[in-house]
Amino acid sequence: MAQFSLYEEEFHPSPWQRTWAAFRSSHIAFIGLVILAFFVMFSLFAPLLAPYSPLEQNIDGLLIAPSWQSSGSIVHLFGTDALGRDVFSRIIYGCRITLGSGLITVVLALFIGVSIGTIAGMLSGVRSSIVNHLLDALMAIPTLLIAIIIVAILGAGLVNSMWAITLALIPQFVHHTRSFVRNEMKKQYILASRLDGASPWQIFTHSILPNMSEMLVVQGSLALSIAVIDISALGFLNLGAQAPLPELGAILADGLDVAYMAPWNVALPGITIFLMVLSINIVGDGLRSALRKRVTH
Amino acid sequence: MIQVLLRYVVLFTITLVVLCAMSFSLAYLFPGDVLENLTGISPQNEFQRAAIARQLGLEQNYFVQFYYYLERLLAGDWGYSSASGLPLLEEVSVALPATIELSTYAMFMAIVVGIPLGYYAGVKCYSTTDYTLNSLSITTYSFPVFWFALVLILVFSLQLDVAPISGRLSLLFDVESVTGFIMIDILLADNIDHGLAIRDALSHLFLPTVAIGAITTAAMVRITRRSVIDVMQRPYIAAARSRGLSSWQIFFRHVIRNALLPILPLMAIQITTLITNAMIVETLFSWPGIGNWLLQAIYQQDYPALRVGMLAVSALVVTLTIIVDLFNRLIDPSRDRFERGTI
Repeated sequence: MAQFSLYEEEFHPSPWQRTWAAFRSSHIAFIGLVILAFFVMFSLFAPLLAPYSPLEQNIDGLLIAPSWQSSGSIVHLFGTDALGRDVFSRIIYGCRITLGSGLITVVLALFIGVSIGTIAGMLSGVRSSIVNHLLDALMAIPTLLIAIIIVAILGAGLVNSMWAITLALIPQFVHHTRSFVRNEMKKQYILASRLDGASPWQIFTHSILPNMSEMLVVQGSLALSIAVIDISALGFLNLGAQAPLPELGAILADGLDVAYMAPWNVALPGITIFLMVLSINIVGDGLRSALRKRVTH
Repeated sequence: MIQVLLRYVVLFTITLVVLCAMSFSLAYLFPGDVLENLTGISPQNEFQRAAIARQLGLEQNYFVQFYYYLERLLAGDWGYSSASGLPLLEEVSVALPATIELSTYAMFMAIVVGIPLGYYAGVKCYSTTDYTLNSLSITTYSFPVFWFALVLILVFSLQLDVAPISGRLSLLFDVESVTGFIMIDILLADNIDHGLAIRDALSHLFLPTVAIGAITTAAMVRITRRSVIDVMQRPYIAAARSRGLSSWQIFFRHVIRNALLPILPLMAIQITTLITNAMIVETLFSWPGIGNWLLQAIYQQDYPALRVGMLAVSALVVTLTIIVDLFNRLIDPSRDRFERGTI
């Protein structure tokens, strides 16, 4: 009796398992993931990890140096700022606000962008041409400009700056989804399911979306790093999170007033933003090359 | 060819009209009086108010108002700044060139430094040099631009004292603003020592350009590297190798030009990032550019200025993007316009 054994292996790893194996084989990407996991942990368990409240002012301990300097003390690990607030606690809460609002922004932009992109990709003719051209052109408007306009209309604040960044991120999701859907619609398996009588919605949910998920994860990681940088930039320019709220960019802007006397108030939030963005970028890069390795393998 | 040009002209016009419509609707969306948002003039009495409203067509429907608005935009009557009282066209035409100048130098730096490094990393892919360059570029790419600029100020201006902290030119030089580009203005001015003035302008330009350019350079290295690696894996490279071409011949005849093609559309995306970064860095260096101007406008709630500034900056960016896109389409007709490379 003929045996139809195409593969020698007993165990067939799923696509995601193979991606994970490829991802793990790169040490740098894995270290990036660990650092990112630290930041996520800080964000999730901020109230448990922070030794002080981020808003608690201490008049007796203004501008205490960080603990590794000779004039510092271990009571305040990263020192205190001009109002005697503990910088370490503020940075932990800052991770929570910056990373958290970045995540929310990206998820929202992804959802809206994928919806519009799919519709634009499945359309054809004049309608699709107008949608595509306009989106391509409007995609070019800088985030900061959109943020300035939204702040002028609605007023400054973290939530308003998040709306601005969402608006700025949507076009690139639309763009990638649209070109992906267009390419996919030309393929034979879509034709096959269409011959089976699948409606456009069924084609999207059963055929296109599963194939698109990897592209979306990679684009999402890219967008997350942009969102974190933009949120902190807007906080820094005093257009985003407002003063007492411990957002990393706003903390940095606060520290700028005392930059001569207490440089750690500028250096530490900056390094935190940098490390956060770096770890996101490394993970995104690792994911991309892992997917590439899997596809070419 | 003509059809492509025509399509781009139509696209360009439609986009500009959409942008104008957005800037017009801002007059209604911003808090405050529509009439003041449109002109920047606060009328002294009811009579004057009625006269201005008639001039703007405010009593008619939105489409007529928009038509009048377009007419005034084209005629150069952009309204007045409610903070300084100066005509906005004049203010924008001073601020915008300063930003364009800064961004041009940064883009130049990105192209001159980033593309060769990217080629080098791509050709030597998966070697130690490549890994070093790649990790350097991903590190630079992750710098928040405002913090990077602060670090540069701290190191070069405060510690080493080699570059000035703020401004475009030392006040000792009396240079009249003709074109708005500082370098050209210096060359046009006739009563100053050109050599000294240019050296001074360069020392002012150095830090902001590096702050903006470094991030774009890093992006450029990554884009170019990816593109070169993709080209190196193509069958025609293998064919060339089997014909016995040396690696230098392959590089010069096949790799350079083919790798440049996917880079161009990605450069168009970089323009947006570049101008955003330029606008942020300007505020730190007190550079009298459009970003600084817009942020001052929002702190002072100068709504007419915001309305016009939004239009000017977005029109600039959209124009640049469409030109790069068109150029890309013209040199590579085989390319589907929806296709873009990856990093």
